[in-house]
Amino acid sequence: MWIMCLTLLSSSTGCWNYGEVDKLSTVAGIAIDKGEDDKIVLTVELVDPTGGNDSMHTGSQLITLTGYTIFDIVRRIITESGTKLYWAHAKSLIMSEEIARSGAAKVIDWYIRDTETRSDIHVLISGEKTAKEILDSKEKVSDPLSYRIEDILKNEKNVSASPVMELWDFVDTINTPGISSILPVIYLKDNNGRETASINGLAVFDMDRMLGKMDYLQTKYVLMLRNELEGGVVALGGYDRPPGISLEIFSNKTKVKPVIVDGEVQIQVQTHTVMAVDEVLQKVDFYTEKGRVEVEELAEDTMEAEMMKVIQYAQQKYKQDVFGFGRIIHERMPKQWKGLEADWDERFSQLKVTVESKVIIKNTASSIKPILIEEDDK
Amino acid sequence: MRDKEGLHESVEQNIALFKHMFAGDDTVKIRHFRHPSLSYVFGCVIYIEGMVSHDTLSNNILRPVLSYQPTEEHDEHSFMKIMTDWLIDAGDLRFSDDMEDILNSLLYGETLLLLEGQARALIIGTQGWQTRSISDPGTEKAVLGPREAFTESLTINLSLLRRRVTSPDLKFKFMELGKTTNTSICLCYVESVVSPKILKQLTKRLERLDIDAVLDSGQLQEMIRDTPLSLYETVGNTERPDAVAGKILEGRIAILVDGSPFALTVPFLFVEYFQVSEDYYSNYFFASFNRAIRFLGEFLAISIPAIYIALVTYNQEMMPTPLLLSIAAARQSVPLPTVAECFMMLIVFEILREAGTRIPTSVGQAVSIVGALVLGQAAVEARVVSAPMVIVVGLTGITTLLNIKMKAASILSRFLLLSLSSFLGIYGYLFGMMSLIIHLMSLRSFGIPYMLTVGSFKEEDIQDTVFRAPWWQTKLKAPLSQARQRIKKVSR
Repeated sequence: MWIMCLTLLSSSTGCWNYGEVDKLSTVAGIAIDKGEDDKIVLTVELVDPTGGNDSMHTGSQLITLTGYTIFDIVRRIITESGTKLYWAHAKSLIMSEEIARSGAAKVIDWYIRDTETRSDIHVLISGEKTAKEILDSKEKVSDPLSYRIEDILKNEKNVSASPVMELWDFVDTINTPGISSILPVIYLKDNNGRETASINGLAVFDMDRMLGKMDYLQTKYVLMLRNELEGGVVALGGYDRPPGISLEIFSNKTKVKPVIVDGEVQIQVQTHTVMAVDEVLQKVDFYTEKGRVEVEELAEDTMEAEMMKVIQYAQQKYKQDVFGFGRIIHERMPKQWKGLEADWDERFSQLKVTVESKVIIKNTASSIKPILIEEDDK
Repeated sequence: MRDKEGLHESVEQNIALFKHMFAGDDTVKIRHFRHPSLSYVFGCVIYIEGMVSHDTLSNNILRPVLSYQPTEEHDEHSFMKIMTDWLIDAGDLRFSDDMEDILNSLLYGETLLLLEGQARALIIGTQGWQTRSISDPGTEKAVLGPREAFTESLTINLSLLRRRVTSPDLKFKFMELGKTTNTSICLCYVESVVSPKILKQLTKRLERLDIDAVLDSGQLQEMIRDTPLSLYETVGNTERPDAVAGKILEGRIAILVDGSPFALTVPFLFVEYFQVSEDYYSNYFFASFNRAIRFLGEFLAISIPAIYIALVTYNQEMMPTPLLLSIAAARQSVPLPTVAECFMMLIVFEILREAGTRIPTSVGQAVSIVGALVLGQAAVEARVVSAPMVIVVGLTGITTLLNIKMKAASILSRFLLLSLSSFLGIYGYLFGMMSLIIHLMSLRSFGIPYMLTVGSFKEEDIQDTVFRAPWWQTKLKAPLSQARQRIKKVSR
């Protein structure tokens, strides 16, 4: 009886795979490029637990193979790695711009479908010519690059220079009408003789086809309009440009409200941002009640202008609703959405959007007055 | 050998009788005496060397009798009366003509006094053998609280209890067990709170025992259990008199066995494994923290190797990436599979533990040196075992010793869980854990569910479990009535 129970129970589970942890080829990340003759070039970064510079770090090695389908390549990698690849700890998937422009869905289908892979992997677009050269960068200071990419993305919310997209999220937005997919872009940067990865800006997609890129400043306001902004810095002026104030974003709430004006659907955006003065470069009054209101108004104007600019950019250059306005119309005005859905890209480019910002300056960090305050008084 | 023949009136004949019975046993001493002036005061005392106090024998019995100067005429009978009334200075004094009784008393260290013309013996309580003095509890050390532990002497143990519960409600009920050893055992309980049902059941189980020798309470513990095949004890044991006093005040029954420094308590609940006397004497925040540590320790003791094996050999995706990488790095070029490595190291640890307990103290250092250096450091450096495995085994060992009374159960359940998870991964571990909990839930100790009040969130049910509620809060302020109600409720 017991034996029967045991056999039945054990065979009804999915997890049978016995494998020693030191015999696994752990995949840290993968890069997908377009090869010649419509072939795919797949590069996997494998963790080499003992290959680091010292015992505290792990190293990595790259294996590149070419083939017509991803799965075919993945299986053939065994002939070079010696053991079956272990996908559960892969952290980043990088696609080249070329392959993204010809449709990302083709190359990520295996990754989403296979049972050994996890769809919470980060997806990025290579800002360089190929995706492989990102993984192949000369930066071999510490852990595998794919894990460094994960670290960068984890702290991304303090900068808001790029969106953070996991594979399932990306696939989800491909199939959702009324919102266009975006992906972060990764570049290689020469950093005092060392090549380092740098993630900033975003790639705009129409369905699964990449159309173009936006820079990190635009990205911040795209995230703000998507209500995904969690932090970052708004700079007003600069070193020699008044008022020269850096504001740290503590929290931001964006309300998108569709309204009907003269039978046309319009979008009203209201943002509510709590900030703090964290840097003052010029002699500006920010510490009195009156001065604070002025800074707040200035920040509001700047943000409104930047958001309008990025909306117009998306409307005119890509005709892609990266802000998800369509989805909100779908939720709030299902009737009107029916009429709009069919040619939403076109309607979006004509959409009237008004933006209204509200900034609240909470404090001035750890000092109330600027350094030069005494000269000021004289 | 035991002669069923009764005593004779003649002292000479009686002496011959005893000499015959104890032929070859030189510890049985027979001392003749004769009163200098009263010719009919002629007889002997019989005792066993080493079992009686010579002081009592000569100062309180022989001297008063022999130096007695009669002020009036006596015959044998009036002398006997004077002798028992005031000559002999001993607490326990009685006549007996039952040979069985006489022999048992003699063997238990009492002195027989035979007089010419009397076909009965005067049994005098002169027990005076050497006992170990009361010392610190060796197995249940505590920083705070009483430092006394039970000894091997039943009478001393009872006095330790009596001193803590000075109430006429405390009852001692004696029994004798063991056909050869005739060991005295004593049931101690507080009459007003004890459940008569459990007391009856316990007496019935004890009376039914068919055993030749009772040398320690551990034997009884095994024989009166509800579920003899379970790994978990359903009869508790302790060597702390304060713990026993606390338990009998809550309505439990203690069984003290002569010759054993461990008292048994029934009924025994699972949570009692984690209750330490010191908890009740120290700050309740700290006591609760220690309780929680003990529960956590027990969980870890049975789970760590199983979870490690499951994660490292089956469910690598459940580990954080950096941990996976560092384990993978540490396991490079270790020849054995993780499962074999784990079993090997655990068994090595058990060998060390067993060696540590058995080894004479003079060579005890060897164990720690061999254990720490050879099997720990050297084995890792030689890549025979991986460093994480040494951590796993070390942690397991320490947490097992945290609840020393549970070690038998923890060690065996750990190996069970480990085997399961080495076949089925994390699923096997969970399956084993579920079976273990179901098993514990199904146990009973003298009719009381082993996991009593588990799953209840009522204040009075959880006040002394994972947490210890402060004394001013607990409803144990009136322990007697409260405990009685609780026991009553469940024994119904």
